[in-house]
Amino acid sequence: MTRSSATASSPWATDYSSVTLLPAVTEDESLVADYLSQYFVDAKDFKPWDT
Amino acid sequence: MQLGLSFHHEAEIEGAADRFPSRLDPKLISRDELKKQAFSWGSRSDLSGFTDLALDWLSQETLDADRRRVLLSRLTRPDVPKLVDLILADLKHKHSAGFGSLTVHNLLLQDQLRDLAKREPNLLRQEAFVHACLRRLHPGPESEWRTDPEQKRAYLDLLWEFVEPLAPSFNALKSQVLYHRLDTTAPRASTTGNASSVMSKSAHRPLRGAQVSGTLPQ
Repeated sequence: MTRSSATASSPWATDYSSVTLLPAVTEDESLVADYLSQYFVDAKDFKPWDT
Repeated sequence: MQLGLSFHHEAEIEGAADRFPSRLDPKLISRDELKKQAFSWGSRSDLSGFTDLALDWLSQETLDADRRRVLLSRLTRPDVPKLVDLILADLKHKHSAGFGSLTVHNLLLQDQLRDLAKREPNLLRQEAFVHACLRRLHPGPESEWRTDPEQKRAYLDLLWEFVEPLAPSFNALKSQVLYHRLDTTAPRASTTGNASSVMSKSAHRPLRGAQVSGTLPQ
């Protein structure tokens, strides 16, 4: 395993690719944005997500 | 003389007493006798009197902690009788360096790892053990999981099934696996236009481990 530049407390700080065979993930922003954009397609407003 | 011939054969005299033994004493070459001699070689804590060929049956002998450790450190295969028992006893010994400290730890098969985890659940809190289990879940070289979406999903399901119940100290690992699970369904979300149902299905998708080699969780 190797440490990336992400902070140690971040879930993306550790590279598990050697044990999972999966590419290391360094951030999840784009994936979250993809999902959120789908959530918002049919939404009339942001109220359900307004906390 | 010129031909170099010699005729030194002794004449066989019937009835004469044998001067030399004509057979080996079975007691001197029995396993018990040879084992006794081999144990007496080297120090009291090693197995230098034994070759690697003896390790299989030595694993079934009663060994003290030091010799048990030496035996385990010399093993290069996991198909040794009572291996899980030996490793478990060694891990519980006060001088154990923990799982992963011996080569044979990382050679254990899925069933052996599962047996170890069942008998010593604390191992599932140790990174080396968890990683050894994860390596045993790797799809075989014949698998096309990297290019086949179904096989990839099956592998990710298998990973998730194993990591999900792990202790919070493995949350980073869980996040990585979960990310890839969601990532595989993200394109489908864009085509169906219903991400919430896709995410829900992704989080509760049943195991489809038959398409990949791993089957550790049970």
